[in-house]
Amino acid sequence: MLTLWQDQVDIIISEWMGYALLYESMLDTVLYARDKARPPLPELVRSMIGFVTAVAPKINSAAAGENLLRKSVRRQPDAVTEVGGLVVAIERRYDHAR
Amino acid sequence: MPDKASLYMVGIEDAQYKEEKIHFWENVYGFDMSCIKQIAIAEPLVDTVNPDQICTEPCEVKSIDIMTVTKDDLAFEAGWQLMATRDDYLTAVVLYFDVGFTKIHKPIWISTGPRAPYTHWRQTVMYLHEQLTVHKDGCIKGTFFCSPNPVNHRDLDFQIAYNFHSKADGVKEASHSYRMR
Repeated sequence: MLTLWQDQVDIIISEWMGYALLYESMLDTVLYARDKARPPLPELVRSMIGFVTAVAPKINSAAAGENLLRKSVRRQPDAVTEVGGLVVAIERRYDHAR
Repeated sequence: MPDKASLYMVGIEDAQYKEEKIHFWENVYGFDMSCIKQIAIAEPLVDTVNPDQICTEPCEVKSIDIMTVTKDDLAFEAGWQLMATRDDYLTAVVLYFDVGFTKIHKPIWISTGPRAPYTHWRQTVMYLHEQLTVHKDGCIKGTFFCSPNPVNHRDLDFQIAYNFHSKADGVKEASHSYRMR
């Protein structure tokens, strides 16, 4: 099993679903990270909503990070949120890539 | 990341594809290759299923809440019951899943089912060894076992057992094993 270089997790970014949901057992690693999540757990889940389309470091300020993020995404995200040291772009809809 | 997931099973008629993928091995340019057939049928097929082929109601076989689920919960056995929606021949069962983003302001569910828009997950088809003659409102009952393979835990083992009574077929019982690799 993997070991983390930090004891706690601020954000989990994962597309863990495999064929027939469970093929490749990718959920196992998410559950491992979940159990390392900084409490309270509901905060974790709120940060897991939507589809994360881009991540940028906060750099000097959250605003600077957001600026960088907005420049790097192809279309404007539905929401931009801060998690730990990161600025994260979230889209509510996912256009299935064929 | 979704926080809820449901795995569903539904019955389909798929004789033509089964003929091409499975019975094909009985006569390969005149050679009897049916030893391969056993391997072919044990391998679930990931493909798109035409919703017109669906001949039963779906049945949920597993529900996952990511806040509380444990690794051990992901190896499970569940009972299932498929009710026929029309007179047809059931050749295969199909697995697909929905996932939910339920902690947000307006919860969203996305489906990977045969009736939903295409996704790269498509559906997972498992052929039964024999086809079942189903009558509208008739029920097939069985158990479904799902577990990571003990040797390679990224592979997935399935077992489908069923017990079926129908006017046309009489009593049919069987248990089939599958391995996704």
